[in-house]
Amino acid sequence: MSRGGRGGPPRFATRVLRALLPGDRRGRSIVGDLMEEWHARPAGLARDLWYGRECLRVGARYLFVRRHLPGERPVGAPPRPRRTPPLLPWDDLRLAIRSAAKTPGMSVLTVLALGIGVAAPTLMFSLLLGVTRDLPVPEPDELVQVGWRYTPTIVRGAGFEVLRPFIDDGAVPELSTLGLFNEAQHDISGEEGFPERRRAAAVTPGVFSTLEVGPALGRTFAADDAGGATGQPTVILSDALWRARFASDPDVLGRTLRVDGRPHTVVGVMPPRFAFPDGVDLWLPLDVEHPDAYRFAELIGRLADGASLDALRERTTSVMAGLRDAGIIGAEVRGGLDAALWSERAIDRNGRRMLLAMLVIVSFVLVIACANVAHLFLARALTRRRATAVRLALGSGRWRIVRQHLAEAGMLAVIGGLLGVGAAAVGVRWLADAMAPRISWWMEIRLDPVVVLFAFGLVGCAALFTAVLPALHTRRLDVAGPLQSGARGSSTGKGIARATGGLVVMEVALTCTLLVVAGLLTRGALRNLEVEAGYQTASVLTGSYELRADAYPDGDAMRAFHRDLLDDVAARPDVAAASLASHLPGVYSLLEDVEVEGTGYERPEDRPRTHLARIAPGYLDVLGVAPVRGRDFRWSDGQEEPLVALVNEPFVRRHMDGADPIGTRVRVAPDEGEDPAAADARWATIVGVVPSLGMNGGLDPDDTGIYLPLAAEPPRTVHLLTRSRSGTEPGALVPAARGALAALDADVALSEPRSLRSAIQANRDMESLFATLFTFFGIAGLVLAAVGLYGLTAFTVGRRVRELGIRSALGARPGALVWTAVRGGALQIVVGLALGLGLSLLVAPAFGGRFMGYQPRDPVAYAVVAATLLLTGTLATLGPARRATSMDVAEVLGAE
Amino acid sequence: MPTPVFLGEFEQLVLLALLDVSREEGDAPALALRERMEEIAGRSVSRGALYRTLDRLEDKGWVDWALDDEDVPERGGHPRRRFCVSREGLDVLQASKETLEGLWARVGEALG
Repeated sequence: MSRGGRGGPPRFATRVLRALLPGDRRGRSIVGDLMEEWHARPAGLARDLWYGRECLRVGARYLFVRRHLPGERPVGAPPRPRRTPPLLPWDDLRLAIRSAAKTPGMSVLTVLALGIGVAAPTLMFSLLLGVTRDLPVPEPDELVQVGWRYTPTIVRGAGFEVLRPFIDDGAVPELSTLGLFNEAQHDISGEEGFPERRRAAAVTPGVFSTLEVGPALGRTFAADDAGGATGQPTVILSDALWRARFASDPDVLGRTLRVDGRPHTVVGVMPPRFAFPDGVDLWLPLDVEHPDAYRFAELIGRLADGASLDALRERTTSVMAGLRDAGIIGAEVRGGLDAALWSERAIDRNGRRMLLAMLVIVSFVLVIACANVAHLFLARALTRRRATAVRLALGSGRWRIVRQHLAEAGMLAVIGGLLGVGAAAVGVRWLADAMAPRISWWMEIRLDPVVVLFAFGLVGCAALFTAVLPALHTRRLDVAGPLQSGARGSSTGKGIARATGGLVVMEVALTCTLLVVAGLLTRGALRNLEVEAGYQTASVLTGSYELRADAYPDGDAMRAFHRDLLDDVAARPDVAAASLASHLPGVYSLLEDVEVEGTGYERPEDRPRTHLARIAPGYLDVLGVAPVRGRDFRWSDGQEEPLVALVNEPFVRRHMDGADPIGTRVRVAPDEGEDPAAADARWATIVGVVPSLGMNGGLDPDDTGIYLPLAAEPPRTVHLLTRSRSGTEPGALVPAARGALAALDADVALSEPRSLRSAIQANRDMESLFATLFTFFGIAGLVLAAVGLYGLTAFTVGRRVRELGIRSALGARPGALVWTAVRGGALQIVVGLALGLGLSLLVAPAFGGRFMGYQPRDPVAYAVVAATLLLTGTLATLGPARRATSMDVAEVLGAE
Repeated sequence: MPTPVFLGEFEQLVLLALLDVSREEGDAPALALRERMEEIAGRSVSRGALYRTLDRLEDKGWVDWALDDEDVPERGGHPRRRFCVSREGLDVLQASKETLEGLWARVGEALG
């Protein structure tokens, strides 16, 4: 404890005391009193400790007292008139806490409802804000795109010859700068790392100057980079690629990177996160003089000073007319050139409008929450009506009573709101993680200041809305009414009750729909897991590669590569089995119309539409399944006559009436006007039947499918599947797969190596994201509906307290009394549920196309949701209804 | 009938002790007042409660105070207040006494 300089009491304690006491002479004299007492005590540590404790104790008494009390009065002056001590804000708060603690159930419901009301719109707002961010470049509003408009909303790139008139200097004065670019995937390789497949953009130098973005290292492209004047072609790396592949080597400039087998000189590294146009890891020069490699390009430009988008669109129209006159664009070509703001490329105006509409709808959650809570308070105000009236009659100021309501509702709203902001913070982080792989590089979902401001604005609205309504009600309260006539025939709040009744019906209906969709999505995901259990996924490594057309020009070259690769991989020690496929099981496969020999199809639509994949021998072995009947493919199958095929069990069941299919022929149905000989050459004899292996994303166990030998028509892009020997992580097989590829061609990359399980899960990511979002909003709706029902019933009981009391006194059975109280709520639940189930039946099928395994009429989901809502509704209604029976008759009636 | 006033037990103790001290020594400082209160009541009196009660009594106009001219070095330059019961304070005490006496008289009869 710091000591006073001249042997005085501990200074720190004095300072604390001074800070707590009023600053006037009154406060100073109290300090003096304590100091004097300190001096009077025997010296020692005990004295100092006593002093510190007393300073705190006295100071604490003044904690909530205004710092400057009205000035002192000289002795002998007439005393001031008596007055009521002013009610301080602290007193309001104290009363509010006491009042809230008296009805804990209601307080918890209020906080919960408002928390949800704030969290849901905040989450939605952060999503909206996150995906509509501008490009992180100077003046992003000036950036425009010129391209071909096919539909009213989408402008995308155009053929090179169409954009050529824009490139010449001064041809388009509305644009100060412009650049052309084209995206493609390229295999990169070199001594610094293994070959991999990356997204690249071919760009003109104008792209960088239009964006006004400079490199972090080296330079961007110059005009002569494209022409190859500097000898070797050049390449610019993204920050991520530079870090991953060159270990952030500061001397990377001048090093060589092989792109599709051709050596390129690294001339620059872009700043972190920059990935223009989207998800790009390297930039190559686009040669406008020799654009053969890029027949399609996109144009980005920056509006010149004073130029408007409309002027640019007019210019574009005249360019378009010139192209038609010159015969470059035929009269029959649909659509035309148009210009639009660059920001519309990622999310067009309709997309924005949709997100905004979703935000408005979700914000409605807050309105409903506030209305419910206001209603709860009204219900309670009603039960305390007599007390309030007595206070008013005794001369208590209306403002004082209103203030108390405001304080309590405001306090609960702020607590709930803060809780909601906290929940939203967690939710935003989750949403950001979940959305990160799906959104563009400049979009960012985070809890930035605008979002926080928005959330606190909502808290303010909630506080105001929740507090003011019941307060106004109190203000209007008739003093004489409740005292003279008891509760008889009071119509107070009837209109509000009716409005709340409507709200509850709506809430129950919306909640029902949200929960049904959430349940259907979850059930769909579960169903898929069941199907997956039918074959190996966790121990299987997948990864794809693509053969370049220049190095592997025909089927023979590709077939040889695929076969050599498979032989090499399968021979490696860790590999239990390996195969190749055009499509992964459980992810997706092609859909084709097929014909079964001997079956007549009257119309083309009658031909079975079925999934098709091309697979190499060993495919079944990798997945750990065996043919149900017949045999697996052999390498000779693809190259020798006759062509053979495998079909799955559902195919036999549905399209061949369950007959023995071995020996029967199938083929991909001929196109209209196709040469019959070519179609006849596709007839393939069924040699085996396999189990269902998730050809339709693995979700529908009844999906029909056929398999053809990979070697018959080798695809350019192929998935490699390898199963590790038991005990080996599939990730451990990556070096083996890369090694086998590198041994054949150092420039062919293995892309996206991962387990089959993760590949399947990645495919369903969106589904689980939506299921979680819908569940979240569904639970939010459930809580709100419960609050609404609780309030409604409490209100009913409060209004009919007298009637219920008399009936109870006359010997009415408790059941009858409870029924009177819950009748209203029960009606809301039943009507809301009926509406909601109907709405679900209408809305649910709309999701069918997006998600696999999703059955919009799954009765289990409907039943579970209906039961949940009924149970929640019953609980919410019975709570306040209990009051109807536990009421003390004497208390209700004797109080008159 | 005069407007009823409400005098709390602690307030009453403060006023009575204050009267008692000032009868002997004139206007009393808070220290002496507290000591007297503990003496009369036979229990310890919290300083904070005493100061807040004095504030309240002053607000009601039942207690007055003035600053001491004397400079006491132990007080580190802080002023000292001396308190006294005001005219209204005396009236209130009187009224309270009558009320209590009336009550005691009746209860005493009942108790026999």
